[in-house]
Amino acid sequence: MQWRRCVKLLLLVVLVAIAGQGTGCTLATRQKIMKAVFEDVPPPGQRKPPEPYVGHPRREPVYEPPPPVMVLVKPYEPVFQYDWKTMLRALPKDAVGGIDWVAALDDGAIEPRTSIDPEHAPQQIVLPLDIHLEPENLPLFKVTFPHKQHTEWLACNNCHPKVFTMQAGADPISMQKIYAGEYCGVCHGKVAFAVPTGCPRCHLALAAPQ
Amino acid sequence: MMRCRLTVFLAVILAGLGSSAQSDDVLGDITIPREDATSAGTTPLAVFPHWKHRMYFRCNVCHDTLFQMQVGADHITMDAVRDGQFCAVCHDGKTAFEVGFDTCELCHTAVASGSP
Repeated sequence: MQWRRCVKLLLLVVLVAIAGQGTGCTLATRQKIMKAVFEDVPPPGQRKPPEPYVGHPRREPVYEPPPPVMVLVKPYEPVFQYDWKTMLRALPKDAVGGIDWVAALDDGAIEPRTSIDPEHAPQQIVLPLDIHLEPENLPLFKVTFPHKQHTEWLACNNCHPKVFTMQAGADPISMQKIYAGEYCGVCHGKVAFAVPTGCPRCHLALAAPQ
Repeated sequence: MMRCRLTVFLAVILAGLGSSAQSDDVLGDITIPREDATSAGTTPLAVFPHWKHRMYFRCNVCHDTLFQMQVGADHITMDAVRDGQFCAVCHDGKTAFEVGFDTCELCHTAVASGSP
């Protein structure tokens, strides 16, 4: 009859607790009872601070390296990818392999603009006037200067009056001076066709068949 | 057999000569003289290829408003170009490629970066 005794004891404890509650035992007595039954009961008026729980991992975490950051380096690209060599080859050439600019313009191989702004490009003023310059007693060396081919490229004030006066035959033009970079030599031999292209290009009479 | 070899040899030499003769120097290419002597030997001199510009513009577009018809008459410096003068009138990124650190070698192409 062991369990009966146990039940009697438990009943007694419960009865004592109820009796204590009913008679209204003091806070100190209640505390004593609580301390007898439970551990770590804080004194009255105080709360036990909660202890932080530090959990330990059961195994070492696997180290994963961060994914490599892809830096996209833009490959170098030249700004202008013009095939100048092919363009140079395509331009019409004169007798010595220089570029024949007059032919290039006439053939339509190039269409050079007349101003920087393509939308407000003025019409190039072309003057169809040939000037005949004949040295004294040397009709074979007569030079025919075509204004037309020159004014297709240049404006009047590029040459007049700084390089040439506006009077045919007024300037003492000679081949020596042209070689020295005066008169025609301001451009010819530097950017325009040079002497090796052949005399007949200016001295038209020399081109006639002998 | 001997003649054949000689022909091949001559052909190779002529081809070599032909390719070397076809340099980029065209009549009218101007190497811009250096104004600042202290920078001699640092950057190759700038070469102005007249023919590339003649393909797109007539002479009177630049002459004589932007450039005088005399090499060295205009004091063309990088400072002036960065200010928007001379080359930078067109080379502004709109009409033609912009003057900047991406485009140095498009103009500074002189083989020998010699003294001014």
